[in-house]
Amino acid sequence: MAGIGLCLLLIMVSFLVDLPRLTPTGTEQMFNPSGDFTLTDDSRTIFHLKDLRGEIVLLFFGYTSCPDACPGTLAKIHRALTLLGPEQKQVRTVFVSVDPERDTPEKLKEYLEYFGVNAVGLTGTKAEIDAVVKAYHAYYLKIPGQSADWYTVNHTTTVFLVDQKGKVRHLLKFEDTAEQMAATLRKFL
Amino acid sequence: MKVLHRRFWFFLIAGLLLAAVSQAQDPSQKILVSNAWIRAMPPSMKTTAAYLTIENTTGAELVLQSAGTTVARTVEIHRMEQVGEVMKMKAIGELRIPAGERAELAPKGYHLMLIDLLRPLQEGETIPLALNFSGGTTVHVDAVVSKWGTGASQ
Repeated sequence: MAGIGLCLLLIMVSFLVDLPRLTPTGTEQMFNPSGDFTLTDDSRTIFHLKDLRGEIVLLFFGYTSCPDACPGTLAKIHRALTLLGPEQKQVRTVFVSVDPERDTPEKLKEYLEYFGVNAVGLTGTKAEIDAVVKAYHAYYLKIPGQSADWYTVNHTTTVFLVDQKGKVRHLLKFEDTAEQMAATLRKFL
Repeated sequence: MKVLHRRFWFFLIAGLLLAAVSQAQDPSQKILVSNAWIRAMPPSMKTTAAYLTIENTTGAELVLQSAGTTVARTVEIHRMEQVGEVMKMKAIGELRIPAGERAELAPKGYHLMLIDLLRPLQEGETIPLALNFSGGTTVHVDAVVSKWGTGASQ
């Protein structure tokens, strides 16, 4: 009797602890339920998210002139992928620029290759980018600097974990460590 | 022999006194800067961030008013602030460090933003930074260029 009680308790606890981590309530419905969008990639080719079906995608928004948050996130993804070992081949990083004025495809390519995170950089017109930002309930805002060229951009730092079917299954927080990121990724490999 | 001996002690004591006095007069000796590094970026990138720790043992409040380097046209003191899921970055005019405290300029917090880099920075090289404090004190520090950051401040 006590054994059954314990089992029930463990099941309840596992629901409480594990399930919300894997699928935050409504994540799949809330974030880009179509599982697709179209932008231009860092080789100037038309990119469709649905072409990455079968791969796990780490999608986030940023810009190459970002001095702190974006390189920090890329460094963290690099460490998390290293922790995964050979299985990292199943993971693709998708970096959506929120600074199409300065981030040319060539610049995005150079930037992302430097961090070694199996990444594709995406850009487009402001309207195209805004549509993707909206689909993921993300946000960005240009902050004017001392000169017209040296503005910065406030932006969402969440990394969206998109599964092999194109569904957003987990939101990786900015403060998560590389170890936590790797552990989360393993659950979907 | 005895005269030489006396001279030796005279110069030793005079030297020590001089050193003590000059240290007391030079507040830069009481500003301890450590763990300075700059994030390496791909060659065509024109911005990056510098991180370091400043310990204020001057006995008075210290204000970092500006910073400079030979490799960037402009250096700004920035504060990162995570508001919900959004990272906000703000240029702050100065950074106050109370007496006896330390300021950690580290990822996700404060940094010196190097704007308009004059040349690409190579991983492993050291870059001189000048930190200008209130009262006209400047502290020079060498920051190492690192791709992944150093130690705890990655």
